[in-house]
Amino acid sequence: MILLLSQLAIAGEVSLLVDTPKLSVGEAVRLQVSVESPQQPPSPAIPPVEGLEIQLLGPPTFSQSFSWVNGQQSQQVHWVFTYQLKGTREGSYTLGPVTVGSTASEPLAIQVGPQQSAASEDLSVSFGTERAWVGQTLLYSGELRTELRANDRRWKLPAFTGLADDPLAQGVSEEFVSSVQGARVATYRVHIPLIASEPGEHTLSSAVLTLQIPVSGRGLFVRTEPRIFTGKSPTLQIQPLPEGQDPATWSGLVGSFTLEAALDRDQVAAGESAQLQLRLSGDGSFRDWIPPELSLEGAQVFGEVPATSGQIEDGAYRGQGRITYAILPSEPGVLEIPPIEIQVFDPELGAYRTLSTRPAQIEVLAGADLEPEVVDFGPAQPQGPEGEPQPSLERRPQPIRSQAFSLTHPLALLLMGLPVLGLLVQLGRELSGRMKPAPDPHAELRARIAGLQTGDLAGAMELLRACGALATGRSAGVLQGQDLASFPDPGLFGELQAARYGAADPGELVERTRRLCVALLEAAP
Amino acid sequence: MSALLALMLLLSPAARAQEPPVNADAHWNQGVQALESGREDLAVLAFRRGLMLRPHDGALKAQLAQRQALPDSPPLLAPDRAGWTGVLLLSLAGFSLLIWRIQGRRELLVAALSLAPLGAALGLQAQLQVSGWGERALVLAPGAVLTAQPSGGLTLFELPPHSEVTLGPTVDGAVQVQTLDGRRGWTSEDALGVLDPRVFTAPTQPAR
Repeated sequence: MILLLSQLAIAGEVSLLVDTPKLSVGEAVRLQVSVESPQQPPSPAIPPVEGLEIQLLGPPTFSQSFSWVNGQQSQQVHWVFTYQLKGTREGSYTLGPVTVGSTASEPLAIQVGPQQSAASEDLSVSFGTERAWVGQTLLYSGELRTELRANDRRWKLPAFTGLADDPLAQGVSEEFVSSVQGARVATYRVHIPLIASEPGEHTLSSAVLTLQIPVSGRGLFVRTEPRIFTGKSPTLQIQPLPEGQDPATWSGLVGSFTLEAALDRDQVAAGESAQLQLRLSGDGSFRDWIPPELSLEGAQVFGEVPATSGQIEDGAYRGQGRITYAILPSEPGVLEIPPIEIQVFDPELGAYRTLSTRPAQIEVLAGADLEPEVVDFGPAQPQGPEGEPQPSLERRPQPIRSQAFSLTHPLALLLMGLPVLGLLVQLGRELSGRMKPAPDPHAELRARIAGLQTGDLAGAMELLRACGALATGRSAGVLQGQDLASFPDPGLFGELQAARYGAADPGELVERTRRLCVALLEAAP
Repeated sequence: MSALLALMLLLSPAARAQEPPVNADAHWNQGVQALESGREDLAVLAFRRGLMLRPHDGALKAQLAQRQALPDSPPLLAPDRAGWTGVLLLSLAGFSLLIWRIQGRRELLVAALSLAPLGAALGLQAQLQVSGWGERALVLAPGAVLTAQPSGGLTLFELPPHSEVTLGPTVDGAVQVQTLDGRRGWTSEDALGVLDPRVFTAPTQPAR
């Protein structure tokens, strides 16, 4: 019972992955069975297929991934069983569904072609056809099978004259390793989707594949030499679409397509809408698709923006187009939807073909409660809400002031520019002040000593302070009387102060000041 | 302040070129004139343009509300008030910096650093608001439809009158638009009125 529960618990997703679904007889490629399970699942049950040989290569490997959504963590564990898938007989086969516990995978289509040599060592290039119609989607494919082991590969593709890129699909490049008759063969492929656009014969230049082959060394120190493979130059004849047969309702599609239509309901209440979806798929691009216009008597029809896509699957192009119409019946009864026709150009037939849907019906139910809510967007009546005064419509005085603001308005520039200008001037002044060489204080003071007048007692006191400041390395403003008294002529400063009131001979004091200042300057650093 | 306004007027391009002033009152008068001519669509357009300049004008809002044409998200501030306030703050911040450099008063540096971001935010917000004028349009004509291609083709849906769309490229009289809910398509230029208060649309044509 526990064993049964554990097998049921692993019911995660099972998927099949094969290196290439197209093999040749005797060729073996890698097949992987991936199982999402928190614990090791039992071995997958692969139903035997006559024409294919499947062999398990070893124990399963697993990988974990974590994700956080809205603050909640979730963990996923994938177990991968790796097999060797070998083609033993030509034919088309369906592998699977492969079951693991109670979960099954999607089946996988495998094609086995005739036996090939181990490696051709030739770069084959083709469009799959030599003639195409304007608007037809083609796949430019290149392939190289080689026994060489390469570290890197680089494709150089030709200029596709006469062809246009398909904006809906991107080219793909793939590489895988297989075993052919016991030899290891690496296959390099490239597929480029293109749309034939210019009529005429176009010969393309060659595609080039460069492989970097290791010749010596290992790891980071490996030395490689390039090996260049050049493909042939394919020729393509593009013919214009037949004139005079272009139906007026041609959808712009060229290729082989299928059309499906789905109606989301067959009963609808009056005022509600039903949705009709058209889905087209085929081997052509939907780049130039013009969706059909749908008009129904007794209903309004609104189409959504069509969705188009293109992709390359198993070496073939697959385009898809989808459009949804909202159908809004206007009255109760039965609404008939006639067959919707879409004209496409079929390159295989060389003619236009009409795809058509089946007719359908919608039963429109009436009901007092199902009255659609009508929003009146028509001209409003010039009346205010009930009980409120009607808004006044008096004209206003003609204004003169403009309310259109702009940062480049002259006044705005002036207001913002003036301080900036002032700042620049101020910074310029500060900068020039810093760059001017500082005057030599010794020379300046010597000049002041020489120029000191005999009766200038105030000048003598100021000079004495300046020289004292230079000698002591302090600011002249902070020098006190006791500092000045420590100089060689201690009483001079006091006598100078007294002389200002007539207490001493100014001539002698000035001369003593000169001598003291000279002595202080000589002692100053 | 009056001297500042007088200087603004003297320096404004409108004053120099004798153009009609871009003013909510001018759009109000334009809207009233359109109503008198029976062009309610142009009146709504004029009132919406006026509201872009003066978002809190009660009369403009009342007229638009009566016609179910009030914008979903009107601007919070009138662009000229926000812009000039921003410019004055930036100017004050600049002068404060200048005096700080000359006199060394640190409180002026603090004032400048406080005023400058506010002024820059207000000024840039107003400038961005004005730069966005003309990128949106109002659906004027009732029954205007959106098509998949410029030349017509598949009809996608009907545009509600007085709804707002974002304008895209123009091809042969058709303009690509995107509705507020993200749907895209083509419609005729004639069905739209560009939401730019610098444009005045006179009601000379008869109502459709």
